[in-house]
Amino acid sequence: MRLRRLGKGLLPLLLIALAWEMLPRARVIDPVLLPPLSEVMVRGGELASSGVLVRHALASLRRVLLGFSLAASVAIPLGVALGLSPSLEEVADLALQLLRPLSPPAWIPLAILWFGIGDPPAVFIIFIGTVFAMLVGTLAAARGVDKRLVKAAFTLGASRWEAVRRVIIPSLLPAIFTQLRVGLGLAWMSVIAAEMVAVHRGVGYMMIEARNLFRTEDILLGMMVVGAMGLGFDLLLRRTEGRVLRWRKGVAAHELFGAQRPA
Amino acid sequence: MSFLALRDLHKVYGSDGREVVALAGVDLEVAEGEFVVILGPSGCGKTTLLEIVAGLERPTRGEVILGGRPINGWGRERTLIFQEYSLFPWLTARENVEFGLRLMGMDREERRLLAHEILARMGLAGFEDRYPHELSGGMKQRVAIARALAVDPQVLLMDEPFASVDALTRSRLQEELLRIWRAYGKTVLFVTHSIREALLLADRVIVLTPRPGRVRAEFRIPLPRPRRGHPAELARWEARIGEEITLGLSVVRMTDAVVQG
Repeated sequence: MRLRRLGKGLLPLLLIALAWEMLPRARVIDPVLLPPLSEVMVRGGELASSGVLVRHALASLRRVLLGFSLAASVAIPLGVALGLSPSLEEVADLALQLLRPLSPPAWIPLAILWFGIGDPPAVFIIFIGTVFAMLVGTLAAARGVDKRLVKAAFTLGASRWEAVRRVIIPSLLPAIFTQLRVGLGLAWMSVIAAEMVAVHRGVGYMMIEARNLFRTEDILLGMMVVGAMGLGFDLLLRRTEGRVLRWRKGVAAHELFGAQRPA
Repeated sequence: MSFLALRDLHKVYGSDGREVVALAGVDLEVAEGEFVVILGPSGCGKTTLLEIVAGLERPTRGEVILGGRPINGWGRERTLIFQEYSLFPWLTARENVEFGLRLMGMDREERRLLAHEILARMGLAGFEDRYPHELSGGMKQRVAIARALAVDPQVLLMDEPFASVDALTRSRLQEELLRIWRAYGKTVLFVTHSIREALLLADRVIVLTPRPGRVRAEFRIPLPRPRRGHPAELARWEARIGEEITLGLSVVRMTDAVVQG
């Protein structure tokens, strides 16, 4: 089952790879703008064996994990708190709506002014780029927690805090996992923007350097590395989710879709 | 001095001319170990009444007294069982039953033993490790009852607990509830809109008027249990209480007419 699914996912990739290889070779696309896949792979092999690629990838990975964990540890608890307290939410709502539309690059000048150069501004930009989405998502989910479950907990002797810990948080776990996946995706989206200024290591830096030197292979390589790392972490989160939320099996509606058709 | 007393309970929802009066002065005394069924049409404030006794809602006026002391807020001595969907879906049947015990600070072994025993009594031996979505509607309600009994409440509050299971399961659950009630000697306050169900279960049936809720009539049911064995008597009672309810409805319609006229 899983293999078949993987196979299905590979099909579009194969088509893209084929086009990527053939079009520049046939000079339909200028190879300077899009070098064939095989050349990018060869270049990848070189950079990987020299250790350069790994160093850049690890630098980006560290920033992503740092910025993402900081954002998650602010967004998830705050989202739950705002979702459960209408008065707190009223206070926070306007500020949230004002700050949310600012994209991560919009924060770059301020980040450099505040945090100088190196890791801190980059981590800050990733933090900013992920925290609002996770906060708003968690808040919305917390507002939808089933009242009956909380009432049941109360009449079984739970205090408010115990109801939060033993009922609200567990019932929010599926939503929290979704928010973490969204957040991690956004963190990978922000890291490249963050690394295009004020750092000397990282995949984003590598790509900007490559553009300056007209090394299109390196730009494409950078994009592939980010895509692969993003995918890897998403799979990791999904597997953890599957293990933690085993009780969800048979509850989720998506299992109904595709299983049968209307007569 | 009665065990549980509801004194002059009023509940008004909303404010500023958009008020809805759910309860308008409910008085009720319940003896320890008594099985009292509150009967009334939809929207008569039955659920509100139970939630006030549970301490989940504050009455606009009046008070609830349990064992001589006015209640203030919720607590495990007044456990509420709902119509449906109140099991924690991320916990197995056993873990659901252990929920309240865990809050009491009972240790793991003791908890497990007690949950096992109560589940077995409810006919759920062998289903301890199933998640709620793996259980039928009737089984879920048995787990809910087991979970409530586990914390050893002084009063069991039941809000139409069998309304969403099929008729066969329903009568089995009713019998089981009576068996459990006798075995544990709990005081039960049970809400339903089914006259039949009220008659099968209750020591005493309290008929509420439609919104706003008020005690309209009270019947002590002297029939011996199990009452299914007395169909003629049951039918007679059913007719009598049914008449009382219809009368209640027509009185409301008449007062409405007077107000509108």
